[in-house]
Amino acid sequence: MLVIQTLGLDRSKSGVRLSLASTAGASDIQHPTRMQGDGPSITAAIETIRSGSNETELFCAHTSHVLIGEKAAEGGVGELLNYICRSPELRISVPMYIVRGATAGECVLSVGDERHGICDALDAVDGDIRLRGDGRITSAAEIAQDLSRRGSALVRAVRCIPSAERPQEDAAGGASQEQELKTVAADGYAVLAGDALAAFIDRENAVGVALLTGSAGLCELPVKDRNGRTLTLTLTDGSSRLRPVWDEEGALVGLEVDVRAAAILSESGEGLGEDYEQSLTALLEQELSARIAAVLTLERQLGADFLGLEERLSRTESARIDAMNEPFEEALEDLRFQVSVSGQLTHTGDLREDLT
Amino acid sequence: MRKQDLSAPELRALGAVLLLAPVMRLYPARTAALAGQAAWLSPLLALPVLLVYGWLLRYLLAGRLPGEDAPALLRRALGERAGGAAAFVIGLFFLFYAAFTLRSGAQRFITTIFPQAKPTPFVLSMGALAALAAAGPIRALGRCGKVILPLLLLALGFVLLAALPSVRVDNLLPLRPRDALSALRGTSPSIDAVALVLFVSLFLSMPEEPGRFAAGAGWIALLCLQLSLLGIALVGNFGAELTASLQRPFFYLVRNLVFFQDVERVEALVVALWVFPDFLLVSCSLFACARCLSAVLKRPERPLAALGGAAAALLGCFLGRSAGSYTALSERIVPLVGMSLALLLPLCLLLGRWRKKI
Repeated sequence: MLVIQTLGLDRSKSGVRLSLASTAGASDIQHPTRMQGDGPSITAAIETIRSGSNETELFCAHTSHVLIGEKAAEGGVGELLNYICRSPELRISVPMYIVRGATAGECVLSVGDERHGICDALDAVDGDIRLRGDGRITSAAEIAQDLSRRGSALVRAVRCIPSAERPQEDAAGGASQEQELKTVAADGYAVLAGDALAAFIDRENAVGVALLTGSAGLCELPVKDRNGRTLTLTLTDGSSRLRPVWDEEGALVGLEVDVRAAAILSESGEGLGEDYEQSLTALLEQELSARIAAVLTLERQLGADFLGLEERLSRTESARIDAMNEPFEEALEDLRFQVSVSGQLTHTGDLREDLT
Repeated sequence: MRKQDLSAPELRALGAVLLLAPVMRLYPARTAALAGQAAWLSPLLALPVLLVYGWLLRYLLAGRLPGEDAPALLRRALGERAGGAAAFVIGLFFLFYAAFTLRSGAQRFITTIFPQAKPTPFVLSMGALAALAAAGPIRALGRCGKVILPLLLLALGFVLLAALPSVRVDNLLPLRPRDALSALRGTSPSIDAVALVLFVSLFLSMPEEPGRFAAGAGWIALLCLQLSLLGIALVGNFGAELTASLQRPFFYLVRNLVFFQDVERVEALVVALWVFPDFLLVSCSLFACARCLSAVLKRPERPLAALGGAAAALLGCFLGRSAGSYTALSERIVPLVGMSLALLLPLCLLLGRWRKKI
């Protein structure tokens, strides 16, 4: 029996291409197992893999990640969500990722080496997302909820990248593996409209999503200071407040977004002073405004409320939102966004001023 | 109190266990579909209606003679023939309900754990066990309910507690004025479930000293609170839309839970625990069926209960064989018939009062 922990889904000529992976066992002689098979449906593809493997059973009850290839996501994820909800084995709280710029199969089959596989890499991605404050893990249940509630949803995106780990060198000093190691890293969000992939939100703009959907925490913001030097501000805290703007006829014409953010200075290249601190605060505000505006612009372009703005506005202005003449998604097209960020540099580390 | 009767606390404990079978099948998804985000509020709004129903039954039963059971009271209220016919119809409903409960218990096992299994083995084995229990004294079922209730409440409490951290408050709040109407619409599954339990309980045993109304009212309030907490956990985790789409959201919730960061996939254990409410509900339905039919056919109750068990098991094998027919039975026919009969009883007794027969 093989315990499957990662399930990757792509489209193939015959219908569905499924890639499955298990993690390595506790003993050194057990390696991660990677398998792939095609079929007209997900169930048929699992059966193809089962019949073509040496395993008596593929045990999917402990599947901890589901990957969807970019092309497959463009065709819609509804079939997969239905499968997960119907399956007596899979959990609907399973985290789902869309692979940016590649197929799920490429990720499942090529990530890792003989000791580590895609399961370990995705565990690391989960940990990374939990530690950072610029996003959240999206589960199948949350995606299904958002799709049925507002017709669009955010899904975490990952990208297959070269690993920072280097292959172990053999005794002669040469690399033991010719091939470059690969891993996966969180790479912003994918936006589903209907149930199909409509756009991606880049990693740097994920903080905009976090701020607009609630609150943001720890994340790095590399910025250029007034001297053109690159320095890093680390956002430690941030929250937003939305205020709708109504015209005289009661139509929603705009949205004011007030953001409060606090950051610390992690790296700098100039002696610190009050004047310089003020310029850094301005940089923080400018940077966050740009990232929030980018996300809001995408929401307007797609005409899909993937951020759940309508729900947030309904909490304070439910009567007026309910009385809107057109659906919120249609109103988005003409909506004016005004973003104002109030930033604060809380501390600059233990250095009073730069040493050199 | 007659030797074969249950005390009021025993009856309440038994009723609380019986409720857990139809509740997990019907209440969360239907309430979420009707009430949306306000689903958790619906059971609390159902409370006044259920209290009135409980009070009405108590008021009407006050006129019964010592040792008189529900079928005998019906015959006295409506006359021998009409009362006998009413008792016969109710008896047949209990037989059908036992068969359906056997089938729905099997369906739960199939959809949550054994997707390739057929319902027959589950239906037949549970039918045989329930027939044996129903042919025995009702006090054995009462004691069984008293023993099992803490176990089930402990399991339910653990699940709800473990589900609490993942509740999304925006799935539950804020509630807007228009949600009040939805919440009111969503009261029907709670009323169905609790009223049916009250109705079944009356045919099991009617304690001579039922105690103060406050005790019964408190018990109904606790049942409603339990349903509300269940609604908070389910709608809070899955949202109203997804909860309404799932067949058995409670068991999906259990499947998702991880206890102490290590223990997971405990749904088989919890699904297995729900065998007890099924067992007691089938046994009690068979017992009530035998009691009703015995009053009409003038035959002893125990053989009738055993025969009823065999008939229910056989019927259960043929009920809801396709997914569509099972859904129609589970979501429309059974609640509708159950509710109609739960209303028929007080109507019959009111008629008896009007005729000054009781």
